[in-house]
Amino acid sequence: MQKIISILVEDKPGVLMRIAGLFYRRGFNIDALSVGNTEIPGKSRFTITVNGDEAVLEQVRKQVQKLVNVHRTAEHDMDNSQLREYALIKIHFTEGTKTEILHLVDFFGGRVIDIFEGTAIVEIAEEQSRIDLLFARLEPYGILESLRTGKVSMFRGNRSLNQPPKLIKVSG
Amino acid sequence: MSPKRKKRMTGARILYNVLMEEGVDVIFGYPGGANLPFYDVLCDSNIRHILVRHEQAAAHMADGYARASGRVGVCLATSGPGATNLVTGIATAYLDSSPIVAITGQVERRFIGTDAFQEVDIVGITIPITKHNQHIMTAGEIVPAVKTAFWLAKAGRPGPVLLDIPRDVLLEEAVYDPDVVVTLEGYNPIISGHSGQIKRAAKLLSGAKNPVIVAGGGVIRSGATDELIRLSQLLGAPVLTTLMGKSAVPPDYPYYLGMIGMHGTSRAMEAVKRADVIVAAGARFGDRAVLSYDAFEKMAKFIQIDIDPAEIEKTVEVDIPIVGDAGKILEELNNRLEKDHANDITAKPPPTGELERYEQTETMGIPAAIELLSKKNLDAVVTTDVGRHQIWAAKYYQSTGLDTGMFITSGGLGTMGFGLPASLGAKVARPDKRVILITGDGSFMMNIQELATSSHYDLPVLVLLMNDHHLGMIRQLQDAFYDAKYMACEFPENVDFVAAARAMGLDGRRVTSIDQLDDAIEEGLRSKHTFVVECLIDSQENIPYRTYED
Ligand SMILES: Cc1ncc(C[n+]2csc(CCOP(=O)(O)OP(=O)(O)O)c2C)c(N)n1
Repeated sequence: MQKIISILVEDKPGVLMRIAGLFYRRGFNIDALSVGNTEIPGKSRFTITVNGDEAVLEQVRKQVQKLVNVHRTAEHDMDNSQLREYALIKIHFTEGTKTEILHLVDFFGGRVIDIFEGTAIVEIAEEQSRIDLLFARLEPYGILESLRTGKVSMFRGNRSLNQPPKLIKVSG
Repeated sequence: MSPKRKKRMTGARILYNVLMEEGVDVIFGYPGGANLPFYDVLCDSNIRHILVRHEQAAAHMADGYARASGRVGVCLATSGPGATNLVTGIATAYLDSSPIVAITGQVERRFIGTDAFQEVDIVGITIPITKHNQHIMTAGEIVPAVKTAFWLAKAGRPGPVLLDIPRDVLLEEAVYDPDVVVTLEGYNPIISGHSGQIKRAAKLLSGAKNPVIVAGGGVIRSGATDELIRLSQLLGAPVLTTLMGKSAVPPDYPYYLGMIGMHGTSRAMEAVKRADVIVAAGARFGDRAVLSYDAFEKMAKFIQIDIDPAEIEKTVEVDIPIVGDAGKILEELNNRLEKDHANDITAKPPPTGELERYEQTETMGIPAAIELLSKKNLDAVVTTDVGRHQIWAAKYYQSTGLDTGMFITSGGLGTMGFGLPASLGAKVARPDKRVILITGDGSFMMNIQELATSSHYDLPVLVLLMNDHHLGMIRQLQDAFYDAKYMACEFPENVDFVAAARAMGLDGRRVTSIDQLDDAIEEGLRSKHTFVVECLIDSQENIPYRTYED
């Protein structure tokens, strides 16, 4: 079963290694990973998409939660969150196919962001299934290169990963 | 805050000062280029330094010190090989949840990542075997990093923390501010248990016909012995321990039935099989203790008490998990039982029968020697190495002088070579106590050089060395699972361990029959120095395996 896990971390070197190591130890292949800054200085947010046994994954999540540099973890699903992916697709076009392609891209909510030497770069930020569909439709025209970022997610409503921090005094 | 205390000084001096603030009185260490600036400060200081003969031993000594004292043990090594030599000791402490702080020297900052002389990425190497580790990249970070390390080593589930400090950070100056406030955001151990869960547990227990308590190492780390015994008495429930839980209850406690698991006692196994509710306190349901996860889960209802949420249901599905400190939770559980269920429970009388003893005491076998030692009821800390002698010791060392937590063994990692350095660390921690090491010829050889450390600092331990000229446990495994085809488990009789002890400034005696043993032990007990009683074992008796079908 697929899980989407958000992890709020202290932005320190090695955090990725610590987190990835825990998934690796239990034999999980991380399907997708995205990392970036948040609105809080010094904090980054990971979104990890991973498939596997639910009980073991829960155990790994608890292990991740124990890391000193990890401030919070949470799990997302279709019901509680908005899930998005981003993709870039480079595609061949000819005078004959140009209009069709532009039409398709437009229909699925994508955008052409570059045209050069008979190729176009298409971007799309959508749910996974819509991106899958766009890929399927564009396939016959010849995809030269593509990439997907993997999911990012945010809870609907008031729920936030960035609740006010709870500080534990170590000394002083 | 006293601004007077703020002063500029070198990183090495800051490190020394903050260690003093943390109450460190001893460091087990070994010098090298990268940590020499710190040795320069240690030279005329109030912290005792024990120069080990191998860094692995420094980590085990810090571990033994921590287990025997309940305080954080500190070890120190240089960069590169010094640091990698600590790895086995750090992993040992990690798997047995022992609080140590390891400090490693590192090459100068500008050389990090260049494969410079004696550079290894020890932080990368030790990520999976520490609770936390970190590079200290400026002298200004030393105080918060050290304070955090000492706090983390003991907070929640204890464990090792490693700090890696480049040589030039030790040499650069920064302001030393001992009053700086250090906070952590991520790590927040849960101490008191969820009251709803405790209520449910009390209800389940009050209706139980045959409740059984299994104590693990967490009971020792939490100091939960008294509350555990109170629970056992409230219910009249037998107490069993895992290997790490040995010495969590006194050997003569009437409800104590010995160890569960692969090499447990038959009475303990019987109790597990009869149980309808099993309370596991600070025990992580390891594979050696549980034997068969399928069979185990079907046997009873489980209440699992553990301070580490990641241990809950890691291996066994439980009915009532309670996260928190074992002592606190047991106390609340006991209060609840007394308050809400006083009329539901009638405590059962203590089980009849004696603790399992070893009967054939005529041949010079390992269990016979341990039985003899145990019967002396010495007041002592006992450490072991790893192998058949370790399991025999866990089974038959039942001295009434064994205090809580004072059976010190490498249960999780099973590290041969742990025993001698751990016993020396324990002796440093408890100079008032007698320390006895029960070891095998294979294990003893793995850190035998520490006899020199023992004579150097006059750290006396009594060594009971079971020399069967075998890696006995390996022989047993080949007996049981490889058609008795023996390979790489026998040693020639080419080592005279007593002579080795003498060569390092100590003494000992070789014993060839069981009727000489008591005399030799007495001589060892009289000796003011480490004394090696080398028992020439002439039996290859296997430890019985337990199954639930027995
Ligand atoms: C460092 C290390 N290497 C290998 C092993 C595997 N091993 C477990 S028990 C054992 C034999 C121990 O022999 P000895 O210390 O003589 O004790 P005995 O079993 O004979 O009592 C070995 C090799 C281990 N536990 N630790």
